[in-house]
Amino acid sequence: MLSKLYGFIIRKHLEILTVIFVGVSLLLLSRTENHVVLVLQTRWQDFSSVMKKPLHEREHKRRVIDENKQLRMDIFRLNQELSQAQSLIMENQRLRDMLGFRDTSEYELLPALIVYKGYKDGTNIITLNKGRNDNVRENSVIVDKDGLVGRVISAGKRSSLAAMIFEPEARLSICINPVRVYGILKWHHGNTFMIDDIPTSVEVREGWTVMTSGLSDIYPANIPIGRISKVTSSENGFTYLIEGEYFVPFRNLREVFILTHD
Amino acid sequence: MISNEKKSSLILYPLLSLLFVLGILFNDFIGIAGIRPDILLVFLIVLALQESALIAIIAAFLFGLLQDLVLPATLQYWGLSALAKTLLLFTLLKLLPLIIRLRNILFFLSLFGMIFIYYLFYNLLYYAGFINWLTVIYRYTLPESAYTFLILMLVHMIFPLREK
Repeated sequence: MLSKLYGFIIRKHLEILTVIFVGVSLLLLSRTENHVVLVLQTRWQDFSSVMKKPLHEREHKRRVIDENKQLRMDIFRLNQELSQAQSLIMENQRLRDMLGFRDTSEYELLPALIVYKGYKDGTNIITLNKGRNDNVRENSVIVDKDGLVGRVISAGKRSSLAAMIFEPEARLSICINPVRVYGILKWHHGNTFMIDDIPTSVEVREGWTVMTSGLSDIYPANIPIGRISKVTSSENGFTYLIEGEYFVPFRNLREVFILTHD
Repeated sequence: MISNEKKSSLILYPLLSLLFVLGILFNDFIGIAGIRPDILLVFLIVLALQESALIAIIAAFLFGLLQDLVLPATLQYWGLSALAKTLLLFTLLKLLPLIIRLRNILFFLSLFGMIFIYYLFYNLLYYAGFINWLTVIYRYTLPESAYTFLILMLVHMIFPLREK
């Protein structure tokens, strides 16, 4: 009997072992919450984590670098979008203001875009996208919603060159409101101007506005230019030294109006 | 004098053991899109083709248990790998006389079939109730079988599998 059993085991050892192993495996599977197994698994994870640490750190570093690269690209893209959105908002605002200005203006206004602002920062020569084909002529006056910008110095067929009023040699015949005193305006520095020929016999105060006088052959009357910021007496005591700020932010200009000759 | 067969085994088994240990330790680094090979499976197939059935089946069970213990993906399934590997080795050992006589392409196809059945069995139990069976097949079973079979082929290129 025993020898028969022994012979059976020898013959079928593979099947018997398989049945035992499958049984044990199923038993283990049914007891997955076994505390000893969990402790062993945890300890193994502790041990293996030490071995894996350098690779994990390398992987982590690589991911951080990739993520950083991606984030930089995202930031750049978002900044571009934000900048574009802000530019559009400002352009929209300017155009709205211009429309308002056009509605209330007594002149025929031709909208124009500044297509080139010179190769150096602060230059007073600009290129407009309107020319003779649009009835633009030399000395056509350029304005912005805030006031006077300059004049066209050369008109091509489809574009024109213009000089803004902050050029050093420019002189403007002006009128100070509300007293209606006339004088000559010169560019001072930055976005400021100076008037030095107003007699001290008339009252001039800070905050008053300066407009074109209409005595010039080029500029029509009553185009706003700027606001007086400082009033002092000259050395001889007969005239004022008046400083003021232009209304137009020349550096930020994008669109203008050209006063066209009918 | 040590025979050539013994010399080959002296290199093959330490190499496979090293691969197995490295595969366990760095399992998460050898994956491609979440698909990882089972180096132990390769080890056991080589063992079944080169060694006795008794050694192969005991190794399948014991190493299967060890694998369940150490691989993070199987924390809640201790015994599943041992069960699947024991059944695979039993089937392979029973079919071995037939498989070994097959021509090259059929021989390797049958080995791939074995690996595929192993993964199918394992994955269907592992993902039971979470992912439908069709997804289990094309998302996990097929790619994992292919990756593991590739490792087996690499081993075969160095140590031909049918030199028993």
